[in-house]
Amino acid sequence: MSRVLADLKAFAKQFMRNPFGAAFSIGFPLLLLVTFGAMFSPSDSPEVHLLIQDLDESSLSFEFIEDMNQSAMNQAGSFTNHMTESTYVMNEAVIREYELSGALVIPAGFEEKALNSTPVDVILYLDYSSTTDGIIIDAVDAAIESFEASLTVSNQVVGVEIVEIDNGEFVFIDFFLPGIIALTIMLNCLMILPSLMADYWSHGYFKILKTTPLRKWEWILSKLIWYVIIMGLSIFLMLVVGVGVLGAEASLTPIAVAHVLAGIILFSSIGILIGAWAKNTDTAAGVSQAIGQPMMFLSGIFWQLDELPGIIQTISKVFPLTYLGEGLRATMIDGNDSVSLENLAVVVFLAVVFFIAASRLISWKEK
Amino acid sequence: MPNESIITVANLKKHYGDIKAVDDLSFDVARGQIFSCLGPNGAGKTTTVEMMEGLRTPTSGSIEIFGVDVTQDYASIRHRVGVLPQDFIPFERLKAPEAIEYFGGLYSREMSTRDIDRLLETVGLEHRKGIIAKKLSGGEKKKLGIALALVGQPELLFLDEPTTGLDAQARRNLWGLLEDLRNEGTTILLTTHYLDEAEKLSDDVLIMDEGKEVARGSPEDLIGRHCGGRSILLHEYGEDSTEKLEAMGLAAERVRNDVKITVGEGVSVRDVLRRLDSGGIRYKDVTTAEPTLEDAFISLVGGTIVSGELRK
Ligand SMILES: Nc1ncnc2c1ncn2[C@@H]1O[C@H](COP(=O)(O)OP(=O)(O)OP(=O)(O)O)[C@@H](O)[C@H]1O
Ligand SMILES: [Mg+2]
Repeated sequence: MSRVLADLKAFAKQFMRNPFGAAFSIGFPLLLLVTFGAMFSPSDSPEVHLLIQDLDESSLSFEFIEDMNQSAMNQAGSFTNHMTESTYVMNEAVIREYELSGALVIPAGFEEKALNSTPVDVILYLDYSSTTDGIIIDAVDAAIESFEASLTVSNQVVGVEIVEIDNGEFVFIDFFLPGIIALTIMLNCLMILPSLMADYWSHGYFKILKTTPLRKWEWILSKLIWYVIIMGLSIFLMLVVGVGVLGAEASLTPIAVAHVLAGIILFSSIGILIGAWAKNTDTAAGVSQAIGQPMMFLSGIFWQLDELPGIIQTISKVFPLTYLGEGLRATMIDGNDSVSLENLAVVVFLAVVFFIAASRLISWKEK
Repeated sequence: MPNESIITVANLKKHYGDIKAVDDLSFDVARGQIFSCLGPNGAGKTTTVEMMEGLRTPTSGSIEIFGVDVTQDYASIRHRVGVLPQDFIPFERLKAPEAIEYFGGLYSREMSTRDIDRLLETVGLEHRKGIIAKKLSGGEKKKLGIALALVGQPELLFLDEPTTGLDAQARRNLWGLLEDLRNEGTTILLTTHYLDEAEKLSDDVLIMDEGKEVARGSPEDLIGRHCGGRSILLHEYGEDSTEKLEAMGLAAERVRNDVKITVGEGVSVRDVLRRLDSGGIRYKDVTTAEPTLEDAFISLVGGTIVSGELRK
């Protein structure tokens, strides 16, 4: 283990002194994130589609809807209200089907309770992760305030019960952040590592190391540990910028951490295989680009796969980056752990296969 | 045990297609000696050494080091061996002390700052501590390579052309260092094309050419066996040909304006000079020279020597 640590320390120093290495592991991902994040950031006046369902159909409920319309007009963004018949059962599926931002339900018995000064709640179906949640809450609060002001009875009668839903709205930064994390891992481990190894060949570093007690697997292990450290730092910074500055709604779950670790092992192993086989900078760069570039653009990192032609969707299935990206997105954004675990299984399986291949197949010997 | 063999090489061959880089070489290296592998460019020195270092696989033959067959299990002796490859390039983005610390870790040797400083001093790099290796001069890089080979305090040291690229002072310092190491019990195998180096340092010399052994023995031994003894140099010898001298039964040879006469076994310089005088041979001045490994090499391999270095 002391040999692994010695190698790790020396490699870390060399890596950080190589402007190329630091730029690709930290600078480039942040730049991509900020550029794309800003380019596709939601506008200040998004469209709000709020459905109002009146189950009371009384004069006070009409009055409340009037107030709601009034306060909506005062809000930024274009606000449209839809009224629906009272027989409709409100749920998330309805909201997604009609591409609504949310829904407000006035319960039956609203008027009676309000007149008796019995507290009564309107029910708000709201997606906190959407770009419009703040606008809707403000509008509802304002409507309640003016509604209560017009009542002769005491105020604080009408409250809001919020039902959290996922309205299915596409928020680019939420889509992009997990993807760029996956991409960064692929880029550094699969595309940069072979070039670093080519350097080792051309300078005879492997030859020197081979004469020392350092074993091949120790060298590989030290690279994996290094990539966990540097990718960890990079991902931390991406989360700080993505969540803190660009407003992504992402959480770093244990499953996401598992994805990151498996992804590093997977792509480093592929990188090491390429680097061990290529032995020179040109071949290493050529091969890793031939594999990495199609993967970068056809794995649903920059564009949603289901909006791309069917053939590309099929091709994307062969790229491991697809599974890493989808898996991270499922757990970090959608909170859909079962989908994430399915993808994780693929990544872990491939990681094991390629790790074994890398530690078995690579040779430090020259012909 | 004196003269215990630490390396045994038998019928070693390495062929690259039609090129027989090493062709049926057998030798052994005794513990605690400086063993030099001497030969012109392309003789097969590096190929031989790198097979011993486990870096190349022999076409056939065997190499045992510390009783271990290194073609099968070099890994088990790596911690006992230090290596300087001929084409050594240091880790370019590490400073010399960092590289030494790194190798200390690889050889499981805890190196204090003082240990590192002492090693840097030993190879003459103490004033270059602060700069990354990429910016070291060629000779300084070589010194760092020697330092790295020494980090593990090896019992056996392989140095492939350790003095090539070093200035005269640094070469002499390295000779001193290698002698010290040898006196402390380290076995050293080096390759060189510098004859003076081989002669001064080695206990045992293997002269090779075209992958084969040409001669083997201690420097004194080789000189004694392959040179005809001392020689006399006649400066500004008056005549064009050496016929007259040869007619007198002297082994003479022109060397530019001078003539070199080899003094045979059991003959004194004074005898030869007396014969020259009585024969009426005219010359301006005379000097005598001890034979060197250079003479042995020329008589064996037939090359020329340019400023102490072998050429063929
Ligand atoms: N990898 C290789 N492929 C083909 N031929 C090789 C290879 N390595 C060495 N040779 C050939 O083997 C011969 C011996 O080379 P080697 O490097 O061992 O010589 P050397 O004695 O170390 O020479 P030098 O003094 O120049 O370092 C040369 O003719 C060289 O061209
Ligand atoms: Mg050589």
